[in-house]
Amino acid sequence: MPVFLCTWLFLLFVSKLHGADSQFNMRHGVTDISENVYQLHMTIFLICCVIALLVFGVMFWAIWHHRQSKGVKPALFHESTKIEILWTAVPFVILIAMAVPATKTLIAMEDTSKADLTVKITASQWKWHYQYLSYDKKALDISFYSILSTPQEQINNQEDKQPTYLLEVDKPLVIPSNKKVRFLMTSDDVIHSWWVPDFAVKKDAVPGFINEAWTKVNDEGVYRGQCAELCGKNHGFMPIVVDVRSPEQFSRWLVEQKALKQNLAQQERALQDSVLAKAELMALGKDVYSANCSVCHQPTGLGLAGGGPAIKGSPIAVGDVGRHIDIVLNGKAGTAMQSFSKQLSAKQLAAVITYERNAWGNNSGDLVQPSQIIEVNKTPQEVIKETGVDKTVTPKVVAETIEINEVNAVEEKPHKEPEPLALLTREQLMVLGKKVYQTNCAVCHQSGGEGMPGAFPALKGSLIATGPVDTHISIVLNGTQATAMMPFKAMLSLEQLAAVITYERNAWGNETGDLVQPLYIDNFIKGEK
Amino acid sequence: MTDSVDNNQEPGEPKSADKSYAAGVKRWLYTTNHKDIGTLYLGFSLLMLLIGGSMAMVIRAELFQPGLQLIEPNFFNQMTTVHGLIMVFGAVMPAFVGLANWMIPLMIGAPDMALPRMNNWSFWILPFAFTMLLSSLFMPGGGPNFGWTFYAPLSTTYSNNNTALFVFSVHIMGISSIMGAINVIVTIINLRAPGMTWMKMPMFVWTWFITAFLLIAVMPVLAGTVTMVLTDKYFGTSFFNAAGGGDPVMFQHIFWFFGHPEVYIMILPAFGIISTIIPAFSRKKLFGYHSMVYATASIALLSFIVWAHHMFTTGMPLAAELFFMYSTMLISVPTGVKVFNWVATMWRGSISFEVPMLFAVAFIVLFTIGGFSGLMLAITPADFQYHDTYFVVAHFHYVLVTGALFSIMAGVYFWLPKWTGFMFDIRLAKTHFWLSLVSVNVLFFPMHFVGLAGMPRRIPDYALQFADFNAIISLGGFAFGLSQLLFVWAVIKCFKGGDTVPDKVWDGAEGLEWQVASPAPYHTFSTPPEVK
Amino acid sequence: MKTHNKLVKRLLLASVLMFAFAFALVPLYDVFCEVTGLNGKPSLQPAEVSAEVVSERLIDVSFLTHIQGEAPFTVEAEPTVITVKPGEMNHVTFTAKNVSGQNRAMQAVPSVSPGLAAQHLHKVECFCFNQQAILAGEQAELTLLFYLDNELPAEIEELTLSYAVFDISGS
Repeated sequence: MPVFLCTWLFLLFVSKLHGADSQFNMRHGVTDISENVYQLHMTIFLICCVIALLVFGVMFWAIWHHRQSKGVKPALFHESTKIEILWTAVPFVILIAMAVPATKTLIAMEDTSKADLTVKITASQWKWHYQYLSYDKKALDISFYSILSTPQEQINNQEDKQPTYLLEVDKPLVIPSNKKVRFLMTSDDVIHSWWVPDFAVKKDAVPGFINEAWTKVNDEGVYRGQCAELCGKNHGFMPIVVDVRSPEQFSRWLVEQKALKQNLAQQERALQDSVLAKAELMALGKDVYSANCSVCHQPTGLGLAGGGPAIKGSPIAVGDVGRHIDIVLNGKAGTAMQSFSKQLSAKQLAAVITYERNAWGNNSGDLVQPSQIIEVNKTPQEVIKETGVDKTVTPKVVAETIEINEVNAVEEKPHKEPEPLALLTREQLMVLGKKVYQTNCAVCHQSGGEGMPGAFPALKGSLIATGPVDTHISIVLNGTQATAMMPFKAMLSLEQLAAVITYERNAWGNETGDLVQPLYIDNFIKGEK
Repeated sequence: MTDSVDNNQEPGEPKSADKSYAAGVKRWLYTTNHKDIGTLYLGFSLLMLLIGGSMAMVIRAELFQPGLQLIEPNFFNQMTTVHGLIMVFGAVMPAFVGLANWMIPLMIGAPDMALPRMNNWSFWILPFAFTMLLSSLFMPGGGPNFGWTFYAPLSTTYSNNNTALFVFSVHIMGISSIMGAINVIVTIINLRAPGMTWMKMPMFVWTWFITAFLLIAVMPVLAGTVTMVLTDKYFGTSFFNAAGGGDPVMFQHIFWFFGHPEVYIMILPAFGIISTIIPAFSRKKLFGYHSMVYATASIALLSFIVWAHHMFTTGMPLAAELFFMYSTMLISVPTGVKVFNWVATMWRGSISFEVPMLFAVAFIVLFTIGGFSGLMLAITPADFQYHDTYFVVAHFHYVLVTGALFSIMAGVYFWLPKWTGFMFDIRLAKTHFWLSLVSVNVLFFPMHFVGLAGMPRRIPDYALQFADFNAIISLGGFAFGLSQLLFVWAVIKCFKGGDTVPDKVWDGAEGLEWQVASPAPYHTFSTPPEVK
Repeated sequence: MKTHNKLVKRLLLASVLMFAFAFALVPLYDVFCEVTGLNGKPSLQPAEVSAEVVSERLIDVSFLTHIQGEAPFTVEAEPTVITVKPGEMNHVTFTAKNVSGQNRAMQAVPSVSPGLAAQHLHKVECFCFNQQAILAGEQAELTLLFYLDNELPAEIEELTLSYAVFDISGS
């Protein structure tokens, strides 16, 4: 009876397993290979289950019926060569039965020939770099980094986690469906492993060596995976996202990428002469910082013990600009600080350095412009080229060494807010204010306005936020001397300033009812002068 | 029944009148007595189990919920690394050496281990090794954070500067193991009582004999590997650095050439213990003694030709993948034979369920589950999906916790009355068993699910779809961790007192160790017994 | 005691030998790689010029270079894909540039995929045999002279020869 009960429970369990992508079991995946692997997995699993039922069945039967408490006298047999041979031979036969389908699948998996698309995957601590080599026998020149895009706040439990938590990247690998895609894998530093469960592809990326894998995806969609080989501190934070599109859409994507690349190259060249405003640099810098630096150095710039040094108040961030640029561009050997010169654009680099030098009370006031970055990043060759000494260098090389990588986050923002200073409703002010607060103030004063005791004062119920309006405005505009409170006058627009002050005066039960209008701020600033 | 040798000596704590050993700490520092050294080893491994276990608690606490709550990723990696090293080299291996020290001379009728002084050294260098390893956790830069498998170049070019401490501590552990193994081999070859022929040796002695050869074969290879890591990191060699003509994948080949036999080093003595306990409580001779010996030997031999199944994803040629798949699958044949023989031993026996037997039965079932997942992992195409996921974590914890650790506990409960002269608190021990049994499965079984669903191992934070199971796993982990305090309590209580036991503690038990008094006198078998 | 000593000496010798064996695994591994094509490590010894019959099979060979980390080089093959016949000698030129302001030395480490093809790819001359010193800002033409032998498994129709380029100026 217990045996039947167990069998019944077991069958119930198996039927649950066999459903589409159960959370108890391996995924069917979206390739023929992954389906084969799934079937292989289930076959072996079921064989194991049957053996287990038989062996444990016999054992528990003996436990139940051959108990001492039943007064059973032990039998005397203790050897039988026949039985020994039998239970050596039978498993052997079962193993052969398992090995046949396994061998077939394996041979199919290892056949990387005749690929339509070849992508070189380079792993490094802790990101993936994809380089499209050829498609339909035509060479391609597209490459980009793919980095975790989950905000640090979610990881630190300060924000709600999205469904794709830790499985999202800024720019996914895009491949066509129903085409054989070959991956060539290598690594820049330690061993990583590229794994997308839905493709049943897992291959190590080994520094100095090349590895091959392939896939042919049947269904379009977005598939997610992770690095599978321990690769250091942020091993858990280098996901893989593959966006599988129809061949037509993929071709369109290729064209877009080419255009984008040209555009960016032009923009980059234009940037050399342009000068960006502090507000723009700071806003972009904050985004770049969140995406690339905050894992180690933390959104607060305070760093992590044993992980990343503090930037807030650090000699590098408030000292010599050149040294700061050098470290961000080239990394620091022997530490986790990597080189960002290839991964970020000149504009992003300028922005993030400016941000680091001005955020969290690092009020160095320095503005780093993209042109400075381009200048520093320039290789001697380019210098030679510009001075016209060496003629062998082709423009292609220039494009390569600057290595422009498109990142979605880059959007052109207007330099100035619209001129007419309209009166805004409480609603508008509060909504905008909350947004401004979250991006500019919440890091220190916390999103609930409670501050951080001992470091950053609370705004909730504070004298400043509930007292005279002008004092409040003055502090936000000009900062407070000798504290981390920095002046926001240059960083925020009039509207943003008005909104955030209104927000601070009315949120978290501060309910002063004061509405501060952009016009009022404008007059305030003029009055100051 | 009680033709005990030397049982005129007083049991338990030695009386001051006995001048054969020093008093107090000196007794333990200078001791060359196999029973004292066995006790030291077992006590040390219990301490290490608790330390390694608390690291596991830290890991499970961090993984209780998605997001980073308690520790930062670098420290998490140190925890997983040191947990692994402590459990393998500090808990499981010394526990088996402790049991070997205590029981092998008693089982083969020898007065002591063959090399008592070396025995003393091989134990006393261990605390230094682990102090060194653990102290690195508190140094600037932190402890080893590259996993217990210390894959290059993560452990060479990219490791922190305390790596030298890790390397030296592994060297010392290796030297200790090799000395222990030499001692076991010499004892077994030279000191068997008259009439104790090879094929009359108890299974525990046989499995340890084979294990000792494995140790001598592979611990030096581990020492060589860490030496290469050391020179690569500090002296500019490039064994594992492609730029200098080396190869990071070669590290894995050399490491797993050690690593796979190492796995069997941790399970063969367990087979010996189970093969001793099952017949005792089935009141029936071990079924297929000869085939058990051959199976053990063939597992040991096969363990040298399967190493690369740990590295299917490194990109091997098809032929190599097929070879290692087949050879790995082959190991399940002798392992299966062992399980079948245990079941056949129980069949038509007269079975009773004392605590050691409970652990032994649990071992058979749960170790076999670990064996099945091992067989699944051997299938290369499927391994591409399992590799480096929680499925692997589930697999090796089933074979090492419900396998090796359960067998050690079975052995301790089995021989504890012989060591102390008292029966342990049976209710306490049974509570310990049932709590451990339930919690260990709550802890490790769902790991199969999250692994199959795609959760990589060694990550400090995970995607939301794994959250429910991880919470369950953590709860199981805390319960299992706390349950082991009952074990500590039960053991201490048993040393303090309890019902006195006869020389032959268990009525179905066979072997020379039950012919000496309980507790076993300080010196036994000064004149060798005659084995018929 | 005497019997003990003899046995102990033998066992100690065995463990010392096994320690040495760990180091012997290093050259053994290279042999093993060469025989089995493990890791796609081709031989670093110059081969003799092909004496084989040129067969009619057509094999696509792609060249890939990977600049390791921050090594200040660019290395490119022109063309990046060639179609060759087993047995025939092939000449490929790689253009390497030192884009730094200092004189640098580079080492290219070859790797073949699929790994099984490695033992059938014979390099008569290769810049990977030696370190290549390149002066600051200079460029150099590097030569690869190779052939595929006729034993190349029939299922291999294309292969990739990849060079990982390291900056070894420091060492």
